Amino acid sequence: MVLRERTDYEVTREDRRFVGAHLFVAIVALSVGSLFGPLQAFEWSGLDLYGLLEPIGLGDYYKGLTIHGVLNALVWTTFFITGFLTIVIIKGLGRPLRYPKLNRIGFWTMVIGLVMAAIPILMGAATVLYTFYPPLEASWAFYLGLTLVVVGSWIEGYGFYFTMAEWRKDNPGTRSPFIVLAALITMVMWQIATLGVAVEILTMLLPAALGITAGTDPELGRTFFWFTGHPLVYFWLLPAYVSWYGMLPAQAGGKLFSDSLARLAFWLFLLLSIPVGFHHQFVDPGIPIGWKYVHAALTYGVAFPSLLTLFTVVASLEYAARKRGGKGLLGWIRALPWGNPVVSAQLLAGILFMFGGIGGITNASYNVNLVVHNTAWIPGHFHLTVASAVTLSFFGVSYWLIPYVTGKPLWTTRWASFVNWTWFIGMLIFSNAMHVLGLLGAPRRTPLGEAPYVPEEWSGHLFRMSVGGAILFVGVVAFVVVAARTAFQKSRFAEGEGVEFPIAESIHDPQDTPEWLDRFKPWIIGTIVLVALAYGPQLIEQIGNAAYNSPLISP
Amino acid sequence: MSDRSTDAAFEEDFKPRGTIAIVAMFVAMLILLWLSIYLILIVRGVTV
Repeated sequence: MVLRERTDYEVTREDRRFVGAHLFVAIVALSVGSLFGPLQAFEWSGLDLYGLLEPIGLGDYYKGLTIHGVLNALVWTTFFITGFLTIVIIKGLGRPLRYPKLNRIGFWTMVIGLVMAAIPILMGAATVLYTFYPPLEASWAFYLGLTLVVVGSWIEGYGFYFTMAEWRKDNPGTRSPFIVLAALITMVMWQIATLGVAVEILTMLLPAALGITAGTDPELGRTFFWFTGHPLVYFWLLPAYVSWYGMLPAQAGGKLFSDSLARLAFWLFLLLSIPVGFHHQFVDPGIPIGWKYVHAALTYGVAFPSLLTLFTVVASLEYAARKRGGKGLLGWIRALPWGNPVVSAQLLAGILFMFGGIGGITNASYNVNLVVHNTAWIPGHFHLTVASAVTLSFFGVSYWLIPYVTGKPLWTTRWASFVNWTWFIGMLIFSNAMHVLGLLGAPRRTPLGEAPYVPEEWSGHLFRMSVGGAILFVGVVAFVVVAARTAFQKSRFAEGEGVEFPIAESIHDPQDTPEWLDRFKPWIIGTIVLVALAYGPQLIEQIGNAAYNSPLISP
Repeated sequence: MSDRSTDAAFEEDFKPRGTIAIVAMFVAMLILLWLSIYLILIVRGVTV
């Protein structure tokens, strides 16, 4: 079958090193960013360890929170994703990148941007958290650095498109491989979504930071930011879904339940994940309530492809488990290969994400959002998405991808399993405490250890949260050790051994998938039209009324 | 019987009953947790 021929393609040493370079930067960012996670958690429960970092200039709560957010939510994810999608494109299409130099330029642009953004953060000149809302002021280098990271990822995306175009020319009438289609949809969505933050930085934040304009319009800035901010979550999630749909079934010993449903879910994510940003602005006074309801309704629309994902991924796992001899209505779950850390990481990530999905749907409702907005509920929620569904899945991907690109075996299965379960247990405790604290009114982005208003009823939950944070820290340290020892050990796979690139076959021949699920044009046009309808009138009004008279505040 | 025909027979018979049960449980849990949030807020009463 065509699929088998594609997977036989041998990835070059240069391309393996190129992907490995992405993973290296990603894991270094995760390591540094994660150092500050427990400091936040401990500070909330009254144990302020920031003082220990004072001699090296990192003793500030908000600087720590900025480093944690930027490195973990933006850098770890973006570098891991671009590296992972690169190998997906190469291996999925069974050919090298069309213009490898273009992708290398993209990668180095991202690295230069990362260094440019990191320096002002470490110097205390960009203590603006990862949302960098105006009128908070950061150094121009921070904004320019972030812009370069985004532009670099776009350039890597162009490299994917050229490679796909060449494959299409050579394979007329053949359905594109699912993992490649899904990777490209992710990149298209990212390139449309990041237009918001690009406009915000280039027309508002950068000119203000350079002194060209006198100030900013915070309302318009937030609208631009959340144009990007919510789909950013899907930029993190969709690569994890690439693995859940397109690789996990094979790793569990089965097949993808439905190629058509998988493609449909990705197209719907492209269509619906962008025009929903106002659900992050329910309390913003400058946006009419009608538009908030429109975005709230579209937000519930995203629940549909999410439920499709739940059904299709679990059905694929059930298929695998029953093939392995699993019995009973739910007893088959035990038959899954839980001892394989690649699989267990993704299974545990999926379980945590079920709670993340419930919390997300709940806090998207207007009146609940008014209560939990800007409370600990929100970081509790996104630790179940980006720090669970995404990060734990990426841990699972790393366990085969690092051996794949280095030619060295995983160090070790037992330690990797330890990472998975530690992360799972820590996150259950941490996120539950954060959600409860949010309902009790505990504010986010606040050094609660210094706050005089903390009531007694919060204290038990604050303690639970810090215990969860400590367990998570143990988990991430163990992950970094596993990744480093795997990559830098001396022993290599013996001749003829190695890691097989996992591509799940579909139960039904992908060639039977309807052609409209394999065509970009109608879906991209639909996305642009829907975004224009959902955002156009408000953007025209907000830009028309923009007043760049809010002076920047340097924290 | 060859592997291929065994696979085909297995695929023909496969019905994701467990999956449907899990999706149903998920939806039930979603409704219950969502309602519980509203109940917590109602019990807490009006805040000004």
